[in-house]
Amino acid sequence: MGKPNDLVQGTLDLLILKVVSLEPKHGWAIAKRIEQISKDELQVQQGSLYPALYRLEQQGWIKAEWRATDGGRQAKFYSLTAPGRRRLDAELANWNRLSSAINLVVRTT
Amino acid sequence: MRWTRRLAVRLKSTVARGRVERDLDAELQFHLDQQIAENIARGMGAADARAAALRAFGSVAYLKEECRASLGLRLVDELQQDLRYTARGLAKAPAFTAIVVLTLALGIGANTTIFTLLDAVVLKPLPLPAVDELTTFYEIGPEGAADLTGGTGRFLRFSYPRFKRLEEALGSSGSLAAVTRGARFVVRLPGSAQAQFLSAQLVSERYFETLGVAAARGRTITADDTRPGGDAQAAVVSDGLATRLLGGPDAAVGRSIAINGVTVTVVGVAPAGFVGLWTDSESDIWLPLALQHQLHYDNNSSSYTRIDQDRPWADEDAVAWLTLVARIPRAGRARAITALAAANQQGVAELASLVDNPKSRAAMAAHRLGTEPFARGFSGLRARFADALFALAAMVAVVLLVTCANVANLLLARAAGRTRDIAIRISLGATTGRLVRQCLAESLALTALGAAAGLVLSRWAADFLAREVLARSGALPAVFAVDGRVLAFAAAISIVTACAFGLTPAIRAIRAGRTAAGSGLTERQAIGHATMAGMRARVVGQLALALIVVFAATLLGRTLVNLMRIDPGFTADGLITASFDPIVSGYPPSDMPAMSRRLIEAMNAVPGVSSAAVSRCGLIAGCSSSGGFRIDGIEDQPSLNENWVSPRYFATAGIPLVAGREFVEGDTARSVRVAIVNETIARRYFAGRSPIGRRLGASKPDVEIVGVARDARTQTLHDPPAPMVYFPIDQKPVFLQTALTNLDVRVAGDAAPAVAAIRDAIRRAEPNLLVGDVGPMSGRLARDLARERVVAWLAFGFAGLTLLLASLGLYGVLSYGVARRTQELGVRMALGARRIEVMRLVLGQSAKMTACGIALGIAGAAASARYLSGMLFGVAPMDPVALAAVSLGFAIVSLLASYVPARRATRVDPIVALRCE
Repeated sequence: MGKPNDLVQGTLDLLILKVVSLEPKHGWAIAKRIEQISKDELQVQQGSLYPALYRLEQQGWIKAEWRATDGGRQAKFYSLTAPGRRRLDAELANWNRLSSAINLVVRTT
Repeated sequence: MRWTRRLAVRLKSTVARGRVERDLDAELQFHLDQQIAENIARGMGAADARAAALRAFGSVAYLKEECRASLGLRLVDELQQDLRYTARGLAKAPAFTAIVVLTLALGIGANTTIFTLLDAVVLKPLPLPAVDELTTFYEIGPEGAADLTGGTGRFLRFSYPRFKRLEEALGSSGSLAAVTRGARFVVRLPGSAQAQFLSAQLVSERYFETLGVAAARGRTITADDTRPGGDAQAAVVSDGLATRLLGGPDAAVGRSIAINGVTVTVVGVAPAGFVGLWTDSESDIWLPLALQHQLHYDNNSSSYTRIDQDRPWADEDAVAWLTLVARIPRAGRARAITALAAANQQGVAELASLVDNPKSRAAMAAHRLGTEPFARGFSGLRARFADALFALAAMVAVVLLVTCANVANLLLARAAGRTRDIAIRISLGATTGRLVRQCLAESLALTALGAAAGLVLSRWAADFLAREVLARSGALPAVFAVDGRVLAFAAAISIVTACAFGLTPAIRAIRAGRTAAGSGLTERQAIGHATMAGMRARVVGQLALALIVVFAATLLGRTLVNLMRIDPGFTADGLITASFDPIVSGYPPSDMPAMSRRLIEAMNAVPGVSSAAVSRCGLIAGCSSSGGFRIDGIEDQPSLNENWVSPRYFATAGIPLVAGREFVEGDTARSVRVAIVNETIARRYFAGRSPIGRRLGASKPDVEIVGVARDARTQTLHDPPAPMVYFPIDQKPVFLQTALTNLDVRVAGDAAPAVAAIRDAIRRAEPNLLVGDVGPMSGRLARDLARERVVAWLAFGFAGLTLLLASLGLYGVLSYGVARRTQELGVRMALGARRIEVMRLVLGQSAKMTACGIALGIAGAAASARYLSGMLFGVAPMDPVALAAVSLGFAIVSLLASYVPARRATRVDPIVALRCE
């Protein structure tokens, strides 16, 4: 296994939306979850994660609230809003189109 | 709606800034702690775990900055920084700041002041709902259409029968209302002995409904109130009158007041701010049209035939006295107006058939109905001041331009001192946009300060002008306040101003900074030749604009002087006048001759009085009367102005007789009927032969001309004398007696000290007579020239301001040029240049700029002077003498402005100059 892949520009938003769509999560958990599901193939840099979270919150796609973690500490949990869910659907459809198109090109040639 | 949410988040983060920062810190700390915990779980030592976590995190400050940018907070941060930086910079240069703010305050203040007046007098629509549905009507005579304000060819008033005819023709497609012009009525309040003059209008039943105004209290005038001959005597009063005199709007309804001797009941109070159709005169009371006859209302009318004064006007088709206004929804307007025009045509035909004289009949029959949209209402003030206000608005716009150019040059000179600062910022990675924003923040801050000061200034100045000038010229501006429109205007011109003077220096400074950043040049070298050329071009522009304004002010000033010097044809010095109203004071018309004799006797008893006389109309008093006359041996029936005067009128007024005799005590109802004509009549109708002994008269030529009086400007100083015929009051038939309104008293020496004694004497002689306006004739003349006076003085003020700004600009640019060339001048001096040569160098530059400025200014003046021509009197728009004088004045001022920098150039010490680099 080589170096973990840098995220394709713009896909981080999609991953964040997808991850928080199941249940509210704090930033650390979002990063861990992405790494875990991708089997450490995708590494999320803090330097990208938090600005992205703030941007998505400002767009109104996710909302944040302070809550206690299982360990009893206060952390900022992000969850998907209704417009966020619509956005996620649109992004997913987009991604599916794009990736199947790339797959087509890669396999045929 | 996403942007609203985004805005909400942004606002929340801006307002709750402290919380956002704390959250961000806590969130990142949490992340860091998790990472450390994980590292420890993997078996690292506590210190290593922490170091590794921080390493993974990268720059926390950078990360936080990125997060803030995501929230849109960076812009806010930068704005705050810019403002703080600006405030610090300006505080460090208090003299610069004060000069710029003061200049801008004058520029913006002058513009806002003139706009306030222009808006109130000319631009603002009537404060009524859906004003674009309102239409007003007039008749176009055979002479053709002219100004709505009452120029020739337009007949603005209609008779009552015609109004009813048009109302019927309009039917249900709209509503039509009739209203008289506001007039002074004598009002006595219950329980008060003192009567007072208040302005009232007679209105038709649907007046308030047509304008879309409901009563604030009680009700408006209804059909029962307005039926002619009906006995309902109702009145609606203004909010102001109710508050001032009737104990408030609630208490006013139901009270009785006596108006011209008729007792009416207040049935309603109009909403505050309601002005009706005339924006320049406030009405206090609205009365039903039906009361015309009882109230003796006979103002503002014209009659097409000789009429019986004793009949109510409601029955007279030949008396035009009503202004009509209709509200017609857009959909049916064209059809409705066609129907109205047709109905009017029938009315015109019927009226014309009553006219005897064939020529007048043909003229009458040619009348057509005209319509005009009515969103802005009538305004005598507008008619009188619109031209002047537009001219002044153009002048203040120029003042602002010159101000901008000046401030731009000041900022440029200042930016030169900042080149190094900007160079450092560029080296540190500041973007151009960021630098421009910072420079603009400075100009915006300066403008904001200037605008705030300017608004305070304009509030005061506009109030002063409205009170002292507009109100004194006879009309009161009713819709007059600093409102949203004025504030919006001030804000708009401020922003445009800030960009106009701020952008160029900003770009120049940044460009210079970039050059300096790359090359390490000094500021003086970095501000290039192009910048100096730009500065000089702006000075030339300033001089040219200033010349245009100064030239315009000169023309307006000469107009005022010409009008003040004009010979009115009567002797104003030593003349005291008083106006009064015997009819509304309760005198029957038959008492008129006796009352006038008593008044004249009382005046003659006052020490110092040499003669006294009464007349139907006073001089320059806004009173006139005219009619058609037949003159012996002349086919035509000319329209002549007429006046009825007492014996010794001509001696009192100081109108010399060219031939014949003055009216004397012997000219009574029993003696031969006599008249005196003026020179214009003698010249026009008697072709150089003496009119004495010839005859003229209203219906037949039966009055003998016994004298010829010199032409006099009896109406206004602005107009040349009109044909005028005078009759003795004692020969006016009793049934035709109308009110005498004017008393003239001639005193030996100065008029002003005698005024009090004369006022007392009038009161003692006629305690019941309502007298107003006792004062020297010079007061009336000054009122007549109020417009010219204020326009000339304001123009001079603006001209002085622009000239001052332009010469400051010239001075500044020359000084700056000398400072920049210190080294060069030092070298020249070291090489043996004489002081006079150095001086010539600076003066030559100044002369070049001045010459260009004057040439451009003359071209500009030529292009713009014709717009002034309507306001000038006795001076040509391109008066060569004025132009030469102004140009010479400019040359002198520019020489004065360049003298100090030129001297400074000669004082350059070569040693110091060479060392300073």
